[in-house]
Amino acid sequence: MHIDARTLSNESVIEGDICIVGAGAAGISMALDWVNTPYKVILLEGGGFAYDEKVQDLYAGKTTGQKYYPLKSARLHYFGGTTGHWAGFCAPFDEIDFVKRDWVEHSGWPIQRKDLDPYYERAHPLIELGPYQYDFKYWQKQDPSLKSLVPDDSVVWNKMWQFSPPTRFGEKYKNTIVNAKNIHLYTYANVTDILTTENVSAVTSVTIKNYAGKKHAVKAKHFVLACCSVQNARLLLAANSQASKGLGNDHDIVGRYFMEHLEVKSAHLWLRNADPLKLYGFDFGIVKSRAELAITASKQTEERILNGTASLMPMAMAKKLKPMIEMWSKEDPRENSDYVSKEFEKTFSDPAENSDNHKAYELFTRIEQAPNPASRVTLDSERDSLGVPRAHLHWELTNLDKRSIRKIYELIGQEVGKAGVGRVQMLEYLHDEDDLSWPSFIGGGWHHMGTTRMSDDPKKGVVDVNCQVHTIDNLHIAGASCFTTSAAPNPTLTLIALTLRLSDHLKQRLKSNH
Amino acid sequence: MKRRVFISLSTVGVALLGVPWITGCNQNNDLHEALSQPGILGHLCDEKGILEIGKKYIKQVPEEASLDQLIQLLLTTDGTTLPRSSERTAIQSLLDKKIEEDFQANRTRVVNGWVLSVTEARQCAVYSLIQ
Repeated sequence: MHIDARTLSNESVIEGDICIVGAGAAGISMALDWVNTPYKVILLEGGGFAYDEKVQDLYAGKTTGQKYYPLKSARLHYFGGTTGHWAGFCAPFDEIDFVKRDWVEHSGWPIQRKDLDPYYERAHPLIELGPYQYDFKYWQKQDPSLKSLVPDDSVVWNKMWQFSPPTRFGEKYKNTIVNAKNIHLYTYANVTDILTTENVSAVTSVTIKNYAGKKHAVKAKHFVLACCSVQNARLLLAANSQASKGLGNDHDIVGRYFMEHLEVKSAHLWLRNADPLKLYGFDFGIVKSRAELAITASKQTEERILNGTASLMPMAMAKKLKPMIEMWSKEDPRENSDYVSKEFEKTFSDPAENSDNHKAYELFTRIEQAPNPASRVTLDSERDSLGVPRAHLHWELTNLDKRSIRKIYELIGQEVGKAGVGRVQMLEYLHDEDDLSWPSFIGGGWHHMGTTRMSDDPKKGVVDVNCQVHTIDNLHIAGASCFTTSAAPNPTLTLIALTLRLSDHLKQRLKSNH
Repeated sequence: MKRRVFISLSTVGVALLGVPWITGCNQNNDLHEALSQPGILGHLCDEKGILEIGKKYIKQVPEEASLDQLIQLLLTTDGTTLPRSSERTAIQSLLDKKIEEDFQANRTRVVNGWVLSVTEARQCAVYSLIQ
């Protein structure tokens, strides 16, 4: 069922069992999981079914610290959310990503990889992935021509990825959601405040507003914030009428530990003999799976480094591509998207450089960012047009991030040398191991994570093991903001898995209340 | 192509610069040339690159700044030193083996961004010293 909140009488009160705030990958995944259940689900989306400049502007904010993309263009604010322009890269986190690593301060989830495995599997069909198989040998069996660059996998291994078409949730699931009798989708329903009981132990309602000048209240037994990491933190911090520091923020954690994936050109691989390296190739929309070079958990432990991977692209193509941080510089996400698409098209459409065999490849890093409390989202003094303080992102990296990137290429270089297939040369910014500065072309993957991190300890995290905000019994968070650490893979698959786990938990709670 | 250019330049370099530091001995020219051709790296890196690696290596490891010492290190394996008068093929075979063993034993070094076996880094250093 769909209702445009602009058409409701002012000061309407909407009631349901579950209220999901945000209709992106997390919010829609959760809503789909509740279709045809006996529960009334309220799904709130700030925008409509298409891009709306006035709504998108609500995401504008300030950035400081490490250069970052304009906040307004880093997310999409309409039904389907940022799946409207995601690329579809998916891989599960590794076991080591969940454990406490003594060399990574603030690491360690209260859950393990095995706790997410069943949910990863359930997430796969939602984003139209293949079988829940990420073992290189499985994929090699499907295509025996896939060959590993390095035969010994004790240091460097082939981390497999799968590619979603990519699934555009807005297009793919609109009809299912709108036609579901128990799902009540409200568009143009921007949450601007969260109200609680007097002792701030439970949420009583959320306030929604829109450009029609109308204000409504939504009441439910349980509330789930699924608005992405920046907006989840912003909402909690801005809901400060009853808790002066914001909801769930008794220990000043909300908004802290903002993490991205550092994505940056890092090295060149020179091969003795030209090789298509098919295992590592990616042909958009055609290749279903490929590998990136990753470092084994035991070697990460030995070297005390972060988890990261290197993807390969023929140098002839890679050298033509500008860094994303330069290409994605406009406030309007549509302009950025068009520009990047054209640049990619130009790069990949040159038949002279699209031959199968190459002797030189660029190695591109995708690495977790060490959890850093100083890397954070706070409220700006400026307010958006609905009266909510804008977000201020201060993105800050650590020395461990830089040291880890360099070490990863040293290890890959050693293994490539050991295999006798070629040599690796790091880019200049990695030459000096004592140089802790960052090059101007380093960017992120538009992956916002960690602002409401999960921890058993309320002093160290915002949500508990079940993604419930500590001390607020019926307020839950869905999405990558719950990540304690960010791992190397893009977050969509994991955030959906985590959301489905939360969904099961809420069903259990509602069932036990009956 | 790059390797060919590199080899020809290195030969010219040795021929032109050989006299002052080689005591009239052609055998040394052959030896230096054999030692300063880093096998696979010579295929992947041009002469300028080899030269830079060599200079950077000496800067990183100043205790190996002597040509004589580098030659000794390159010709020695498992406590045995190959005579300096050995055939070029024997020297190259030894160096190939040493490079392989270096990588197996993680005796590597990052020089000018290249992840190299210590042996090939030393070969580059030899090349930079004979220029």
